[in-house]
Amino acid sequence: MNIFKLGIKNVTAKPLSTGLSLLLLSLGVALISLMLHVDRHLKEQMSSNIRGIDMVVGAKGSPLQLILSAVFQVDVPTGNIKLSEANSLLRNRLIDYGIPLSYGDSYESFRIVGTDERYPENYAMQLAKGSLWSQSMEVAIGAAVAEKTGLNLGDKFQGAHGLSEGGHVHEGQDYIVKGIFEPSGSVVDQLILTNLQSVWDIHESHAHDEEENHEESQKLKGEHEEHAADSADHTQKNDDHNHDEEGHGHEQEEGVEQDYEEDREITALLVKFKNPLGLVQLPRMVNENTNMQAALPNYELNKLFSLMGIAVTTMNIVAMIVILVSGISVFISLYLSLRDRTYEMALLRTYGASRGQLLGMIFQEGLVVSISGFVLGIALSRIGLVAVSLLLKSEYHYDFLGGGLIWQEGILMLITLLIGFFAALIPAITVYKIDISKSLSDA
Amino acid sequence: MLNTQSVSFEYNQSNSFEFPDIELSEGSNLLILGESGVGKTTLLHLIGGLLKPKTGKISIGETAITALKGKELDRFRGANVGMVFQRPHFIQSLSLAENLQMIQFLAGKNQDLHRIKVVLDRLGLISKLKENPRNLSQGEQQRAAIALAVINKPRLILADEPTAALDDKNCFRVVELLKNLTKRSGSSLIIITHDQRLKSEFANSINLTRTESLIH
Repeated sequence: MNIFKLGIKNVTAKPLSTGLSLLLLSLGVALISLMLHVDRHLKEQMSSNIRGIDMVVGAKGSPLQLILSAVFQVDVPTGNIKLSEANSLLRNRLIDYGIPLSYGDSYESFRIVGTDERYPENYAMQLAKGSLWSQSMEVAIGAAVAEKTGLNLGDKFQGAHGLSEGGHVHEGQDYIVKGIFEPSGSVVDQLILTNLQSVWDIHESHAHDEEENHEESQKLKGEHEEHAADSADHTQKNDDHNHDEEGHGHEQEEGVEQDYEEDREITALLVKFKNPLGLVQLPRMVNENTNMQAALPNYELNKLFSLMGIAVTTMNIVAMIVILVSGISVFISLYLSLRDRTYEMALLRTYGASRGQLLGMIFQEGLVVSISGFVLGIALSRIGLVAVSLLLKSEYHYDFLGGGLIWQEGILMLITLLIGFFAALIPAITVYKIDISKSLSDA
Repeated sequence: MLNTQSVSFEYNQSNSFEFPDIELSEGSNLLILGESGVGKTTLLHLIGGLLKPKTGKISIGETAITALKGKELDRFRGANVGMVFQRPHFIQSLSLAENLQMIQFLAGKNQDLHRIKVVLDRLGLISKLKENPRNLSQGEQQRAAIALAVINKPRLILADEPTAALDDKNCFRVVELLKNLTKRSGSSLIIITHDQRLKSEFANSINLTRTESLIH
């Protein structure tokens, strides 16, 4: 038995008041810690998903919605844009490249996105098995998709119209899995990637169901990809070159192709600028001169974060108040028990305890409560994090991993320790000043 | 062993005490009788080092406790003085055995469970070892308080009205136990009381009155 053990015993001997203090403190800590983690996860996840994307071009509508749907694949798209319009935009000399996206179908609520190989490249995706698609209706799937649906190489499945389960199933048109990506933590983990042609085929097969047309549009697409990959003026040059080389006879053929392009639609275009000047000129140009809308992921994200920030700050204030109340509860509990224990303190002093030892004991009682409250709160927040993660995973296919301590939690610990310290301060001073003789006589 | 010389104490100008000199040899007993308000408890607290006298000197053994301060005084008191109070009090969150261990710890002694068992056995409390003192009967509590006082074998045991709240049967039992246990642990015993029942139990007694202080 010693002073330290006595301090612990004093805390555990009052389960109700200690329990109340602990409950309040751990709730406050858990709330703040949970907010910190959710906030951090969301920001990290979102910021990592906009890498390599300077601008998103899509149909007119809410810019935030466009970003959410095209970059994060969580919202519904704003609509479709003409491939021809998108391609003419790509000829701008300020644009490095543009990745077309075409989506709207899903399989078991995982989105099927038509794009080209630069899309997985942008997220540095590595293939775990198989290869990328080489022709229409071939897909490469993200790690989370493979895990959840159990799809493997060579498996066939049918997409459903719409982004949630229960949409009209495109019967008779099977996708076949050609590749599975390694997990990357990016949005691609949750996607089924295919080429643009697949998406067009599914939705326009009734209109263009001749094999020949398929081949032609395939060729066309390949050409466009090249164009997009090259620099804008290069593309321009190529086009000029084509015009010069080809005679009238060819022009008619090209006209047919142009018709195809006129009909083709994509959902969004992820654009990378060649130089920062693009940021200044292009969004305005797109928004004012075309039927399309340009949105800047960075700008929209910052807007979103500042909105989130208000909610997070509010939650944090509420949680801080809860922590403060718990501090008051610790104080009241210590102070009231001290009034009962004045005689006990005098007894301890009589039997040789020094002022300092008792002072330390009272601080220890406050700190034991605040430290265990903190630990309990962190444990609670991890449980909450798992819950949030499960929720987000089923709702948005977002993974929430890593529950390690973050530096803000260090500050949180410091705050709870201070609360424990200050809650114990007045009781400790009271004990320090105790008049043994008087306390013993009064009892 | 205990030696007090011209000790006086003053709460305030209208409430001051002067005490007769006390000389107590090793292992002997002393009963100090007096009515309420003559400063009995004050004297006891002065001897125990809980109060500082205004004048005079108090020595326990070779140590002048009036010269000790703070931590040293606390440590000395813990090791050399045991106290029994009118109403027994304990550390509420600890069991009886833990209370005794705590007191051993505070005095800087080894925590000796054997010694605790021996003492509790002598007091008939061995079955209450793990009991919370709150749950003991009043007689048991007063005996347990004796256990606290003697556990460290202090040189001096001070008892403040130890029998005031007890009936005759318990009163004599407690006094017997006090005398018995202090003897066994080689301590000296001072009991202050207004309880005239105890007069016959002690050969050595002094009466405390306030006349001296009233003259001044």
